[in-house]
Amino acid sequence: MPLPIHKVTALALASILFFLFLAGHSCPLSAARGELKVYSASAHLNGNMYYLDAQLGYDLSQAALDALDSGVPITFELEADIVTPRKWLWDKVLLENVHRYQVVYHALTQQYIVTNINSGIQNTYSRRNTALLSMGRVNNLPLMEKKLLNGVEDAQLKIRVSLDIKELPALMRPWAYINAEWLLASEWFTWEIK
Amino acid sequence: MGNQVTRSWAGVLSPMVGLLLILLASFYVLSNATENAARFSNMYGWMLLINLAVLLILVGMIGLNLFKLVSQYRSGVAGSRLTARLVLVFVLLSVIPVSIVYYFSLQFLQRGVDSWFDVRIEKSLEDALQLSQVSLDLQQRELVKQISGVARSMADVSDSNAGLALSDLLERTGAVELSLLGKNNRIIAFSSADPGKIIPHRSNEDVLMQVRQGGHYVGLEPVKDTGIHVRLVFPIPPGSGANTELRILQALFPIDQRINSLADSVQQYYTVYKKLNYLRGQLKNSFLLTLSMVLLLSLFSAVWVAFFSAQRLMAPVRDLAEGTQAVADGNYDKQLPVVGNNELGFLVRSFNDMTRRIGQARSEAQESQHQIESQRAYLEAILGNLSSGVMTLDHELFIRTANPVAGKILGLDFSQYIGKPVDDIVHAYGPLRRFVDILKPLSERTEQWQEELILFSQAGRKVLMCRGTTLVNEAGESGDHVIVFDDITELVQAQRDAAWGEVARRLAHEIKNPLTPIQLSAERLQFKLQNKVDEEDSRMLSRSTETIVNQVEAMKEMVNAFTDYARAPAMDLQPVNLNKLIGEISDMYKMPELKLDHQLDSRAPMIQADAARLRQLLHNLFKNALEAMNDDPQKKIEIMTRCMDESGCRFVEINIRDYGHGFPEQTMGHYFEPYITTKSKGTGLGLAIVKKIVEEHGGMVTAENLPDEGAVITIRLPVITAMKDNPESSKVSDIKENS
Repeated sequence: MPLPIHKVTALALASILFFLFLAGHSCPLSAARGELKVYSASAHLNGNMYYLDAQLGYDLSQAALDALDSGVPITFELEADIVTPRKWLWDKVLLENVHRYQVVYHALTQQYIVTNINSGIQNTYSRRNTALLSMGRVNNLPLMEKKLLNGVEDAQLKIRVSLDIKELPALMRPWAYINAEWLLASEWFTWEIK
Repeated sequence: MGNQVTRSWAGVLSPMVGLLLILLASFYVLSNATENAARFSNMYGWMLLINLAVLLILVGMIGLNLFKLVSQYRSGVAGSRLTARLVLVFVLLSVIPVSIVYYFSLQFLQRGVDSWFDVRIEKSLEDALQLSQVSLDLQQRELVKQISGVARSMADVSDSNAGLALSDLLERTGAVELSLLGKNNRIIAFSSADPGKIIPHRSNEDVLMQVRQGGHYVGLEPVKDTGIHVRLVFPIPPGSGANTELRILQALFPIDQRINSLADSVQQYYTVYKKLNYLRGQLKNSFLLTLSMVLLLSLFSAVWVAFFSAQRLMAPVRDLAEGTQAVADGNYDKQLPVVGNNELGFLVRSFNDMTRRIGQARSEAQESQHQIESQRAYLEAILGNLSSGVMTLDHELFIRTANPVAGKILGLDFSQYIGKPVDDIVHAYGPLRRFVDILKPLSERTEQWQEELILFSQAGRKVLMCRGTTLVNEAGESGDHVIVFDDITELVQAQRDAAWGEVARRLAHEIKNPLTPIQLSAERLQFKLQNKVDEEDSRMLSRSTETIVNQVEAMKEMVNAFTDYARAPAMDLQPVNLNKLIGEISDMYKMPELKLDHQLDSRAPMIQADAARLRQLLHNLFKNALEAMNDDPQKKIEIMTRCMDESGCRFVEINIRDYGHGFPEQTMGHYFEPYITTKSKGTGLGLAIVKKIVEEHGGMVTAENLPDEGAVITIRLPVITAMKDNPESSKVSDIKENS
């Protein structure tokens, strides 16, 4: 006796979801999946400007490391927002800062080039870890003018770093969107601006 | 209709064209994805998403169609089985070739992509890269030798003079940038070939750390917009004088322009090849994904088109099946939508023509039937208002129709007997036996006939005039019979009364008037001539005048009797106990030579009658019986009454029997007509008056000679009232006397 049509449909949907789940969790070791972290972040006032200091961790997944060593540029996005919390609604965003960094391997010179896309400044490193560590050290990054916080008492700095899949080659994107190894993003880190 | 079809097709074709365009776009992206990645990098994801959405829509539509088809198949909807077969055939026709193409395309893709990446090409690219590196390495070594001497010469240069020294060195060594760093990597001096540059390209912390620990650093470094450079970092140990700290000399040298260009080219293509090699898996997957999407889109589109085509193809067939069912159910107004100029359209148009004609024929038939009904109603109204009874019988003498008057005349509810044999009415209603008897020979005769009939029923005596004919159909065959009958009882009675009234009036006028002068003349003749003639003549005169007087008296009596017969005063109907009345009359005829034998039914009910007339009737009957036995020395009369209930008709029968000579043969059949007598002294009105009185009471009288001796007169009087049994009948019932 053939299965009813609704049961066949449910079975097919369940199979597709299971396949997607497997595709997204194809690597069993969480370490190899990589992790981005914000260890610390703070803003300090110098003159009329607030500057951002942060310590970020770029622990890339094996897939990302392989891609980097194969000459695929990897782009990261550092989001630093100034918000004021609200009781019943989502936070009110006073300012949105997005800093983008790109790391790429230069085969001839065997150097890793880290470029701040916003400023255009680039640094070269002979070792990958050094490049990632240096990218994780954020010091004196201009954040906002002091006057932006006039009358605001409970401003918060919210910071997050993530891998920008949109900048990957087109062929990689469809898989990257459903693969946990490429879905790298840190949690939001919050710091009260005194 | 044409516009509807066009709109319908446009509504269906639009999504199909849309699907086709998406398919073509998918193919285009597929064929160009690797050639121009930048152009399609943004479009690729969207195309996949759109394709996925279209796929889901198609899956939904197919699922919906499949669900509908399965439901219709299970419900046995007309055309569903054929639709299912067509869908199956279409799907198989599309799935098999597409699957084959898909399989070989996959093989081709796998092998084609792999063939792009040759190990030899990869090796030669790596070799080219290494060659570039070796070539650059030689330059680096020379620069190391050159700068190491320079670094030593800088040991004795103070910080304040360092700027000039660096400018000098910049010119001598051909560097693009020289900088001197102090403690904490503080810039002591900086010199650049680019005058606009005020900040040096800093080495990273690791390099500086390495140099501070005593070594030196040399390496290639790609500088933005200016190509590859050689970076040299040397420690400058503390020298004489104020230079007590370790300083670092940092130099940036350009490489040969041509070498730089070639090396950059090698680097670029090596990187592209390396990246492509890395993306080979993804490339295959993307091709596979795109091809699968295209395949699934094609397949699902084909399946959907299969559903659509099958349903569209079967729609007229389904409509035809439903239309046929509707026609079978009597809905002749069913019109199906015309589906075009193909054979199915022709079939649908033919069906529509057929139903239209059937509908017209039905309308005409209904109209005809309506007219027939009207005519039938009209005819029934006419027949219902006729004073004559009309009934029709089929050729097997089954009753077909009868108008209300027929039932009224016969005292019968004909509605129960329509469609039944005419004999059935006799079974239910005995008095109609004679009526049915004259109908029975109808099956053998076709000519017109007419017959007078006397029925005796509960309603009394009835004289019917029946006329009939046989209807002949168009083929000349005899068919139904029409019988028309009238109740002419009153008419006959009235005619008879009128005739005898006229006779009586003439008798009185023409005969009775001269009788008195005749009588007086005869008496005067006797009185005048009695003394003038001799004795013999006187006796003759006396006898003659006596004879004249007696005969005149007799004629007077006769005339009086006629007058009485014709006068017919109004009836005075009263409840009469017939047995008691017979007893009273019998007492008047008691005589020695007469024996009266009574057999009176004690159950005989009272009847509604005129007692005086019944008394006259009984007198006449007694007189008639006595006169019949005039010559017999010993006379005997038997009087019998009985209550009869025959076929629902209740009546009282009186039998008066004598033992005389009986009725003469020559008067057979005319006993009750006036002036029919064989007696020398009779007026001939005795039995005529009896019959008249009986008929006035709605009764019937018969007379017959008995085979052995004498005659009997039978009178039947209907029990018209609903009177119960005679309370005094018990007394009378015991009367059974012989006198």
